[in-house]
Amino acid sequence: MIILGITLTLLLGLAIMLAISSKFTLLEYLSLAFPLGMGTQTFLMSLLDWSNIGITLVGTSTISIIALAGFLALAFRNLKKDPEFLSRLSIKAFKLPKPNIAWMIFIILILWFEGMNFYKTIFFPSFDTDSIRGFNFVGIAIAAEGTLKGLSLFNSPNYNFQSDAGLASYTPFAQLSYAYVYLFGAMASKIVNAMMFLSFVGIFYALLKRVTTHTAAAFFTFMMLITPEMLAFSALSGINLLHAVYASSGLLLAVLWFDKKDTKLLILSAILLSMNCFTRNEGIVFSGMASLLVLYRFFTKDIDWKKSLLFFVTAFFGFIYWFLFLKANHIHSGSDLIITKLFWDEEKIATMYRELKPLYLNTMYYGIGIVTFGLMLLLNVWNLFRKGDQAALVVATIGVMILYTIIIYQINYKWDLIENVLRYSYKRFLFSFIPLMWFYIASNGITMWVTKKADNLLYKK
Amino acid sequence: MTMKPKPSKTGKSQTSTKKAPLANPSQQNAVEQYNSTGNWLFFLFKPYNLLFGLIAILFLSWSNMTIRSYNWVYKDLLKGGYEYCGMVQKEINKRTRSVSNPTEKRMIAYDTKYEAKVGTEYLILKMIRDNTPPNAVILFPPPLILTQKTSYFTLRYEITMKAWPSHFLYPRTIVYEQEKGKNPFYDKAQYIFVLHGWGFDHLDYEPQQRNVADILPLHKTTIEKPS
Repeated sequence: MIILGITLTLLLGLAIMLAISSKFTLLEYLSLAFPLGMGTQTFLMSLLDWSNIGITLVGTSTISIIALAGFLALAFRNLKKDPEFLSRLSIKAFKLPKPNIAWMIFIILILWFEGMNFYKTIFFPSFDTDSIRGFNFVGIAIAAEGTLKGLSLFNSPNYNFQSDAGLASYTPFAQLSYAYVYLFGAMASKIVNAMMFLSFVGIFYALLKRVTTHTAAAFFTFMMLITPEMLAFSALSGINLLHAVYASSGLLLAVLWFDKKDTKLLILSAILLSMNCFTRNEGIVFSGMASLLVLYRFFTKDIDWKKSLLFFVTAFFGFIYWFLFLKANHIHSGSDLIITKLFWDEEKIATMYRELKPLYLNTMYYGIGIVTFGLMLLLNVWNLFRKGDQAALVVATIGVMILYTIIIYQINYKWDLIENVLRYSYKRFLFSFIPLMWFYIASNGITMWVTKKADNLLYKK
Repeated sequence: MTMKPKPSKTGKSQTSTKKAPLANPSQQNAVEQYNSTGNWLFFLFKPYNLLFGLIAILFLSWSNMTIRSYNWVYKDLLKGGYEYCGMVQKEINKRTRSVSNPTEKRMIAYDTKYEAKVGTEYLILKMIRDNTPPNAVILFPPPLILTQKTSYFTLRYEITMKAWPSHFLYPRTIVYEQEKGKNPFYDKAQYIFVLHGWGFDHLDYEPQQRNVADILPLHKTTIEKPS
């Protein structure tokens, strides 16, 4: 039964991809199918709940089949215009690659490491504290009670989920996706986390392949994969990794669009960023940064106002929709958590500096990723300012880090200590920045020169 | 096997990439789809191929030896984690050897996995789950009793956070002793989780035995047990 549910989600995601364009690569179709499919499923489930139909197995299956049919109709329209689509994906078109040893080593390592990680992720049910007392618990309850807005956990005086920063106001992607697999008979929800991280490895490779060689894509995907804290958390049920998948892929696609002006990348970016807002409220910093890139292109007249506006609305849709959902259903939104006017608090800044410094510089958490990013940025200063080398990516990466840090600074800490938020929440939010950093390390001018030279030496006659 | 070079639409030789701007995918494809006259085996033993392979291996060995966190990723997180799964699976196989019902098998596997990950707390919560009906309201001891250090066992602090034990007992309702007079569910409790001698004074009958940890009906009249 659960296989049926996962298959339905994959088909839905695949149909969305094909509805956007028939010109993606095979790896992009395969790796983006699950995140897109599951994001859509959770949105549809929330619609079922809002419309009082209820989140049931029959309702969820029916609405996803209807959505699938709709996206397939759009997909067929695209495929009609592209008669070569099937021949591009056929086995005949597949060429056995040259036995590039370095590439093979890293691909084998990626498969081996991710294989072990996938297995241990799905083997154990949710056991981390935050999921047991939060996301997974709510997922189980939604599947049993068929509602999110009317959930006994949120409405019973026996629980305290509707307090400031309480789980009731948390964006619902994780909870609903866990409920989805429980509806389809799963004993545990970790298949969602396992599939999301597996997909992410594929997405990262596929996006890197758009700018660099296969060898470099394999190497840097491997380096991103073995980021210690991130890999460890990928086997848990927390929302951070799920968010990182949507946030970083969405922003990377916006950066790729910024350079290549390929509309299909922009559409995909907007949808993923919308899902990023549906996974974490703080996801708006990624949608905001991508919107700034679009705004820049609007001013340089590379995109018209209609497409720009559509992007802004879509990229923030998850956030707006969830805000309306909370208001309409009288769920405490914890909206007084943010101090809306700017202020200067020297002590708070000193605390943040003291806590963040070891987070960014400790290789125990993020391996050599952050240090290498800083180093490559320094080495590339000339290329960056003279040639604008990967300027959009640098601005986007540093921009989201600054924006998120500002949000953390603007929070009114009456429900927890700022030290705790920095040590745990901020540390895990960094997962969304790490792929951006590795993408820059892989695609900056110096690395590109080296990887191209290496490929020239390897493939020359 | 010898392959003849085929003309390629995206560019056929590596030299064509030299003047190309950085990050041009079509040029990248030219690199990857390049068809030389050499065969597969010839390419495998090409000096540069071997050299880059060697560099990759040296880099991996260096990072595994010098960067502690990467060594931890391989040895403890992945290999260790994978092996631990194998150990737990062996225990599951042992426990399900004589079980033919697939639903029961799945439940045993689920419980064994949680036992391995959560430990004593899970065993206790499982005992409560198995001995109360799904609609039960259960009275739990106050935090000091729950986390009391004893020679038998010490429960972790998470059990004092209501949502944590509730996850394992859902749809049962948990109410803590300290919620007396504040939580309307307190007066509705039908069962009591007796622990380290706490809770026996809440019973209106004398239990057959006084265990260190047990789940008991609060009132003599509450005699129904889950099937």
